[in-house]
Amino acid sequence: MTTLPRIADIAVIGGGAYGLSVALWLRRLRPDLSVLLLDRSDFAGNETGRCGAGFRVQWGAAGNIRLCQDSLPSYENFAEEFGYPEGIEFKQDGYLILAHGEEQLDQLRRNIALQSRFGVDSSLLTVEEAARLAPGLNLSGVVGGSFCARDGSLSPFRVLDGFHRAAARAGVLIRHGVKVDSVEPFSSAFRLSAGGEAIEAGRVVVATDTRIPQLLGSLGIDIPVQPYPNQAFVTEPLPPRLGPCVVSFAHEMFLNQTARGSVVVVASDRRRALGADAQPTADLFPRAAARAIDLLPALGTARLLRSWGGLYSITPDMLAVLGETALPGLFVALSGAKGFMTAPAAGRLLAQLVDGQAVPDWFARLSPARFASGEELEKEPAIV
Amino acid sequence: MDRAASSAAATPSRRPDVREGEGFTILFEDRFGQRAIPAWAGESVAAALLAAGERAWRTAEDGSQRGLFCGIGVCWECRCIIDGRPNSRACQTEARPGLSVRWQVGPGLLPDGGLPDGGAS
Amino acid sequence: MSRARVVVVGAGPAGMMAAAQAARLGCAVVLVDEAPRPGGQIHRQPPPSLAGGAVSAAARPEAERKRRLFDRFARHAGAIDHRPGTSVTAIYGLDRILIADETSSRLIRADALVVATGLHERVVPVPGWTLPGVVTAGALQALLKGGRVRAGDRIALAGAGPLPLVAAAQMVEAGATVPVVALLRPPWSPLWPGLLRDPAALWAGRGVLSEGWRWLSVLRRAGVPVLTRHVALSVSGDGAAERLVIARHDGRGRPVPGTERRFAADTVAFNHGFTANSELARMAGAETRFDPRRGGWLPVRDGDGATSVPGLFVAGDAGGFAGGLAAACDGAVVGAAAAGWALHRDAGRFAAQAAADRAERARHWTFQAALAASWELPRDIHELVTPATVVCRCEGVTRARIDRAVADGHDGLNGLKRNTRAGMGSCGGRSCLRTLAALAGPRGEGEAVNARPGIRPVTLAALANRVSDESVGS
Repeated sequence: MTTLPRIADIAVIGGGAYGLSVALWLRRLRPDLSVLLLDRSDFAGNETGRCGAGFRVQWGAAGNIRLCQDSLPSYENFAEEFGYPEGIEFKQDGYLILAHGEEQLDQLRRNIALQSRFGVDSSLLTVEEAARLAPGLNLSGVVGGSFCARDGSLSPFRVLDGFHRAAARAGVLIRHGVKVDSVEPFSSAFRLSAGGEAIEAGRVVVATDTRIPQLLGSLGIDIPVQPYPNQAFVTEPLPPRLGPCVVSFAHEMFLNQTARGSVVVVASDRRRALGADAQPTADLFPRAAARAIDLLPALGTARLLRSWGGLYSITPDMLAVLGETALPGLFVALSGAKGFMTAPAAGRLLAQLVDGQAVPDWFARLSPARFASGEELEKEPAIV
Repeated sequence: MDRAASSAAATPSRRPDVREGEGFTILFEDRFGQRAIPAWAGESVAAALLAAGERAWRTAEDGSQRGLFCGIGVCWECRCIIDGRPNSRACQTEARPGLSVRWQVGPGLLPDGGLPDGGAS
Repeated sequence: MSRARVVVVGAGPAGMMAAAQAARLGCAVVLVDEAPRPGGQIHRQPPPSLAGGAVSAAARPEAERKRRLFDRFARHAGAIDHRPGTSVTAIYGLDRILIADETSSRLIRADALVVATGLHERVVPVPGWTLPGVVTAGALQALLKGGRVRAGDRIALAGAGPLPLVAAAQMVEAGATVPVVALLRPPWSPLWPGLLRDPAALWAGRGVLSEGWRWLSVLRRAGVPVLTRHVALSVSGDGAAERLVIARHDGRGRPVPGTERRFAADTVAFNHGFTANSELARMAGAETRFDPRRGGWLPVRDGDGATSVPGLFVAGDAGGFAGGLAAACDGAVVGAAAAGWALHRDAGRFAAQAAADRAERARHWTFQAALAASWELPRDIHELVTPATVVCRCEGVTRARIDRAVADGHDGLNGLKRNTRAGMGSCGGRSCLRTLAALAGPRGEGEAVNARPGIRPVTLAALANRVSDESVGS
């Protein structure tokens, strides 16, 4: 392990999209403060590196729509905003959500109505329109869909690399391979214990997603989150087969042909228990490969490159948890399974909050205080 | 290098043994057009192409040309479009009479940018 | 309860002998192999239509070894469920091994699993190594053995160890002109100190040594220059290989100025040793250690081939390079241990049955341990990988990009891979991970990359079409 400082003004725990973004913005806002980021794994070793690499603003709860909407310009202008000319492979060919049946279509209609209140340019499609956008799809049983042209596919590895480099340039001290074992209040600050070493930090942001309860439960801070195992696999690079990203609730599946040509398939499985581990299971391929081929028949001849498992962080309202805990100075950044899509805005706004600045009312409502107060947010219906 | 000259010079002598039985041809199409390549039963597509002096049959994402590298199916450098199917390994595919090999660009496009199963990208 | 089942992956010398041994000892044996015919890379068989033809004097010992191996295999082949054209795609546990062919997949159970997946060649990149016409030395052999075709007319070779010499001689016999064989060090010099101390090893290696001598004679008769202490600097040409540039090196792999020489060639072949195919053993959870001479990340195994995972065995070069002769003996030993485990949960039960193979293996191992030194690469060999040189051929990742990532702190192999995408392409990192590890510095070789389900290329249609296990091994 590389040497750790004994003291930091602000410690950020977790080196995924949330941790890196908030650390980066903290230093941008406050170059006078020392910011230390501790990540238990190597680069991109956790959930951001395992996500399906899709981006969409098409959600059904205001908090999700706003976070994604606010993040989109950062991804569209990533090279300039984060000084990353390499590019993030943003294939902005839109995102198509399929409705199999009127009930699903009604939900998409309601979502679009909500999205349009925030100025999102999404629209309800007929089957014929969906077929024109994604001619390779098998649309039997589909009654319509929802589409937004500014959504799309982008590389989590490139985004994390961009955040990482920008954070390091901004002066964030990043340490990989450091697992924080505990966080405790200590006089007016916090003491972190990591591999037998103690670090004092004035403020702490915990951005370890589904692992937040393990770290903060002993402090009496109850963040209701359940890990939900998902599995994914990716094909070899293929000729263009699919423009937009596609979600089909009937297939319990998300498809994304990336800018490099590989098709990422994320398969959820409602039968698996919340809290199960993330290892790929033996039933993945017969179940998910068959469904993927049903949805996009050209995948039948495609070859598998690799498969993996990951954990969605499921909150009661399917929204992120961003804000200060009951312990002043201790903040959480929990993605609600949308960390990759929402990281630019979530990191920036949370950094403002940590710095004591005002944040928009809609963002303030994502605070963990909502679970204690019983104030319920509108639940996100549009998860696959 | 003059491809046609190397091809003509190479044809019989790169098969050091006398072949039993009849040879046949496979079809190879690159940006210059389609031509017949001699082959014998049991040869891989890569073997037939190399014996005919063809060393490249793919353009990688960075624009460089590629052909055979490891010869045993490990490296995937020799992939090309075989009988309409992109990403087929020439070193792992046995030649058959009339088999079609087409130059692959990037993840599986034809040199003119079209999809191997018809249509433009 | 069904018969105790041994699953063997790979039908090279080790896998063939392991399967034969386990079948002989009464196990149901499934032999899974990607190739259409057994033999592995070393004894690659041409299809029947190309079999036959004259065998040169120098090629005779190998032909003889191959005949003995196939004879021994043939005695038990009737009791082996041999599945050619089939690969292991995932191991979820020894009771759930996912195998697949072109059209279907199935989960099979093993009481003992023998990974005998061999190895593949390692090549250190130089500028121009992605040009068409640049191949591995083994590719030359594969084309010749499998298809009776030589890759080019004028073939230059460079690298380490004896393989470039053998391949060069085979190309000469196949009618090619070989303008040069450039070796980093003399492959014969490190041999003698070890062998002279151990007459039994020298005796075991006599066949290989005399074979080597015959191949050298072929090169000498043809007037092929064999230059030792030389390093390849680049391959160049207009769209394809036209010349190889080499230079003398200073003992550490750095070129001595003024000693550059160029050789015209339509084909350039490299070999810098081997990398063990250890992914399956790693996926099954086996502990590994890094051994740069014998194949990189090797599963830790004992004399029976037993790994840290109960019931998981490794046989032959997948456990570290020792050559085909040792692999065949090792297969017979490990096959007996796997049978003992499968039938009695006792890997030592049939040790007596494999005593002769064990003793012969020991002599080959001693001989090969001496030979392994010839594959040791000079310390600074990777200094020749220029910033613009592509390291990961699949994803087009250059050395400059890798250096940048290492400078950013991503010096563990998994993090480096995710940061650069090197090793994430179609080949699964087989062409670049050794280089990546060497460029990463001290941490790079310390960790193997994660081996995840899906390591061999199988179509989604085959994966979707899962058939029942009932017909396997019965």
